[in-house]
Amino acid sequence: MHIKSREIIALVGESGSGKTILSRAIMNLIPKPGRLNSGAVLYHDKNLIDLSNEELTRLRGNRIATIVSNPKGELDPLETIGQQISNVIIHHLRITREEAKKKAIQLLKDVKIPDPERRFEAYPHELSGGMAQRVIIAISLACDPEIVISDDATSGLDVTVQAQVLELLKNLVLNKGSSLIFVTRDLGVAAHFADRVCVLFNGKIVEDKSTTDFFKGPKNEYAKKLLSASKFQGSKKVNSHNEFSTRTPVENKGPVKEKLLEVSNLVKHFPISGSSAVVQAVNDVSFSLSSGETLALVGESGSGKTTIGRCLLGLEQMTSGKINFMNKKLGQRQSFRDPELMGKIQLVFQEPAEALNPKMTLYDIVSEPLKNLRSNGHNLEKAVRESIDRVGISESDMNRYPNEISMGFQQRVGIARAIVSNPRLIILDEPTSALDPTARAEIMELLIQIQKDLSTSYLFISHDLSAVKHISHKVAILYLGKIIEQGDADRIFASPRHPYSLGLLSSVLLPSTSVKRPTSVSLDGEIPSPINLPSGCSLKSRCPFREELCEDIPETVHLSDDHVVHACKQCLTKTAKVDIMDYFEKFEQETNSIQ
Amino acid sequence: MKRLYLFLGKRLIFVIPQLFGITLVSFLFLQLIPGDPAVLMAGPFATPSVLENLRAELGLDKSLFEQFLIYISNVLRGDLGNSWQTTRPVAEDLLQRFPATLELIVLSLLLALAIGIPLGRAGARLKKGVTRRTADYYGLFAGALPDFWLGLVFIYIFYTVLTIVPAPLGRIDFFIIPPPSVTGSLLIDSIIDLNFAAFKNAVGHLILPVVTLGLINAGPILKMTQATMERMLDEDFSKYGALCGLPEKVIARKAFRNSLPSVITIVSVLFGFLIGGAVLVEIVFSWGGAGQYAVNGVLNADFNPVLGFVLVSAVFSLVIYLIVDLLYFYIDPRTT
Amino acid sequence: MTGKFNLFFRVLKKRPDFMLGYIIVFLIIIIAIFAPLFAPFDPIKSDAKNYLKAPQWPYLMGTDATGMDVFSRVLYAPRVDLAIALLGTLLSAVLGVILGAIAGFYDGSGKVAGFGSAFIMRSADVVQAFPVFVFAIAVVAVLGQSIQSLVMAIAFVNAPIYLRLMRSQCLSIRRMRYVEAAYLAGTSDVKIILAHVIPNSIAPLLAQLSVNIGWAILLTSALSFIGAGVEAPTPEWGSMISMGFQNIVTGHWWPSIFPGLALAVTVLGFALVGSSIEILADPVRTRKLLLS
Repeated sequence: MHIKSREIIALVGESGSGKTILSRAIMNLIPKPGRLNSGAVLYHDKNLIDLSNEELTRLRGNRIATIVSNPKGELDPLETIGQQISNVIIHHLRITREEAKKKAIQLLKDVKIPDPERRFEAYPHELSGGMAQRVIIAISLACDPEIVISDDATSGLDVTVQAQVLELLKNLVLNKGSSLIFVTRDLGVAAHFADRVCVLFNGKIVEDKSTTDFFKGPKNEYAKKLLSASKFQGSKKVNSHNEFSTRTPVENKGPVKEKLLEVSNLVKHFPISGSSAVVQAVNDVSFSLSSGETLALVGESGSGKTTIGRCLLGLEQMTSGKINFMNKKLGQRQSFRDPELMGKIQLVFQEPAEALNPKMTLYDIVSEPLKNLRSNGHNLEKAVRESIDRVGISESDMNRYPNEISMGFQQRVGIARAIVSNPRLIILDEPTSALDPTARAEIMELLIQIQKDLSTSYLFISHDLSAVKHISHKVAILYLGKIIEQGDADRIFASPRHPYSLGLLSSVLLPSTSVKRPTSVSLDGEIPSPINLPSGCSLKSRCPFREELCEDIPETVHLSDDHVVHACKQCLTKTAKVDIMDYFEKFEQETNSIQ
Repeated sequence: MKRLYLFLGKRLIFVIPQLFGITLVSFLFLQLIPGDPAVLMAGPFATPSVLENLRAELGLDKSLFEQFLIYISNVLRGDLGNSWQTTRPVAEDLLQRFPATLELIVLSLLLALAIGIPLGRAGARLKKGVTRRTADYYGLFAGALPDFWLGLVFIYIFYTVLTIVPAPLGRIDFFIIPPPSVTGSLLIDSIIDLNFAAFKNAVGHLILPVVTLGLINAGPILKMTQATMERMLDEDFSKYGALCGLPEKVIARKAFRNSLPSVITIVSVLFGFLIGGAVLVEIVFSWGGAGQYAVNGVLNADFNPVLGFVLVSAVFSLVIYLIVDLLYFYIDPRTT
Repeated sequence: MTGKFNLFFRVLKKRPDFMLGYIIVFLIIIIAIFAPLFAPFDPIKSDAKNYLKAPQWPYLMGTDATGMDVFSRVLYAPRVDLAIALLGTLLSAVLGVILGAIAGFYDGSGKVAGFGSAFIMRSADVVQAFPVFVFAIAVVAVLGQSIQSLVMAIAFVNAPIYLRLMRSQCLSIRRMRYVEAAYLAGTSDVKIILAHVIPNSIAPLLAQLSVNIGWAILLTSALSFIGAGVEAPTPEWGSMISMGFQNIVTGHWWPSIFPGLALAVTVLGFALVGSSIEILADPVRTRKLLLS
């Protein structure tokens, strides 16, 4: 592998492919007990492997800088961010503290942190994730390095923030004349920000091409698989007879369809101890779901989407509102001890490893929901075997423990446990966001197949918009605990009307180089704290359409039978004119045409 | 500054009910101890009428609740009752004995810190070598040795065989006139009095018990320092420091700063333990400390010294915890 | 199961000192059981003619001030010390685990259970606010001086440790997704504690238990040393040290030093076993050790 100056390359690979080890090897910092067995890292004709520890220390952070993920953990919690930036500057450039401070404040300004003089004195815990990531970027650029390595740097951030940070990073690095290496598993990042793509598989680079060439069609088998998984082409092939939709067609459309779940005016406030303020996690949310249908709750962190799911299940006590499921009231922890409801709603979790008891065998895990239903032994075993079979796990694995199987398979076990009790509704709480692209595509395919076979309803909670588009019939977009737009999935993806929906959809990095991302409707800044909600329109600080004093009060507007939006009139007239939201459409057309 | 007051206020609110709870529980608890103080005081041959009078005098004929109320109101006036063993007010006895115990504990913990922290730091930073081995095994050995026995071994070696320390009989030799009591600490008082003979003698008596307790209590301090610092060196921010090219020394300093809260906690726990636990070493060296006083009280159904001791040591523990909280507050900006 | 044994032996291979710990513990238990076979003299029979004899044949460790054979007494002592420490620690673990599971599982729940949970925690606070030693002595004083009361004292003093450990385990496990999944399947609280919380807490509990036994032995002998525990002439290390303590200044070191040495070696053995279990209970530390 090689990198020229002023070049941006993306090092793409899934977990275990060796991409992080490779990025650390460049700095000769391999976690023990690993060792570099052979090879060379040449930097300006100097082999970094042969350098002494002191020489390497002088290079690290100075000529070659790294940006890491989990920004809040990477900063020392006991030092102000100003001190931390200054420390690095002083160590490498040997200048006085005063000068370092000046430079640090300039850097904070460069990474667009508001009020840098005051932020200089802030501690890491006072910053949001996005802000902390900017501080890390500031540190990495402090000594004008020649190479910047971004190690999965933005994977923990919300989509709208991720797009901003990446954009900022790219501009800054190019301005300074440095080279940039993106280490990532997300081909979208590669498509939109890199000049060249290197695909890593089992510790080897299997494909190294310019970005446009790569997205036209990689040669290597694995690279092909990775690209098609990122585009969800795998499942396309399964039902290629259906040109238009991967989704399960909903039977009995029309007014007679049975409402399975009805949520009205759900409110959930979390009190803050020692203060009269409350976190307004969910604010007056209503929606409904029919059987066999998928509703996606979409939103960034703090939007309340997970809290809604937990309220439905009684894992959180709702503050007020009504939840009806199969004509019964829900919302209490004890609700599920009712034999008629027992096992009728199930949940699939985000972190597959945490969802499975490490001390139980796969068989015991999957059979747990049935044990309370008092099934007799034979039925129980049969049902467990059936659902394990359905998720594609072989029977010989039934006596293994969760830590002996891969993450994708762990998630399959979670799904098997969910379907074993024949539920009417499954709540999918970010079921794919912890997974690698290929595993993600497989799980999505599995979920669609299950819905087809069992006609289960899904409540799909996610911030992964391309997955949402792939699976759902209806979409509800949440922002700060409120549904700001909901309706038919196709309609919303084709013509979103709320400014936030526009911003959110435009910040998705689709894995393609030929469709242009509509950056003109991008959102500014970050999600405000849900403790002190801004009065009036909750988006007014970030809205791309805002005017100097936007004091409009949003109202609920029914655009059509299946499209409701909660926004101010003025904005709606403006968004109606925006005609750039063919982003997803074009991408889909392109994807289909390749097949 | 406002953050500090808020923080202190919050802590203090908890202190008073806690003190009350401790007093109540120990009062009730001690009533369960078999043995009648009146019988013990008057002797086995006292007539019933004598005992009756004595009980009335001690307030033992009143109901438990009344006795407790009387005790509490006395405590608030600084009266902790009398000990029938020493026939003196408990408050006076404690005033004399607590400084002895405190002097011993504070010096021992300082020694323990001086051993435990550098060794623990070195143990965490080094992956192998003699220092690392020493650090690894020190904690194990120190934890296994009974301190009262180690004291005896020292007495045998340094007093009986080598005769280089004074006899293990109290804080100062009989023939030396102790300095007038100001703080209760013999070292400080003799300096104030400019009495260097007394100072030298007191140091001689302190050496063995302080070394005994110091060596043993260095164990947990070392273990905690090493374990926490090793964890901190594994944290992301330490690895990121290396990626940024910060020298190992700087990274180690940051890691140590981040482990300070745990080290402070273990020191405060040891302090709380030693207030009562030092009694073993006190007995070995005939120290005449507060712990010894309380233990004698329990063993002889002399309740007031025990209650007084529990109360005063609880107050000390609470003060220590308050200081610990303040230290946390200054070290960690996240404390609220 | 074979995998676990395999891991165990690989850890022992890396740290031969742990092996030493297991050998010590094994030997001490053998000695305790078969003391009458090994001891040359009756441990509580004093021989007025042979008092304070220095170590010599047949008195391997000499005799004490009342003329009892120190060696025989040292061999008999673990019968008392180990029994008290083991029983006391086990009792405290049982007490602590039950109360801790309740306190942790119902922490913050609004109803009666939540109140009970708070009550348990406040009681533990009060118990721990007492100076450990004075508390233990007071327990012995209340219950009367006997082996049973020593067991109770050790159980009471240690129970808060297990209570807190179990509570924090419970607090973290009850937030685990698999516990929530069990709720959705209608599983009862008791079943959740038995099927999910306990199996996942065994490793740290075992580690704590093994570290604690050594400490309990120290506490037993310390209580006996100050006269609040086992009474002479029953052979017990702490009371033996106490009996010989007056003779040290006159140069007769053996009645105190030998029992103390036996005590220290025993506690060291348990400490080594404890740290091996601590490492084995933590997969991260096990991996680190095996890779080092």
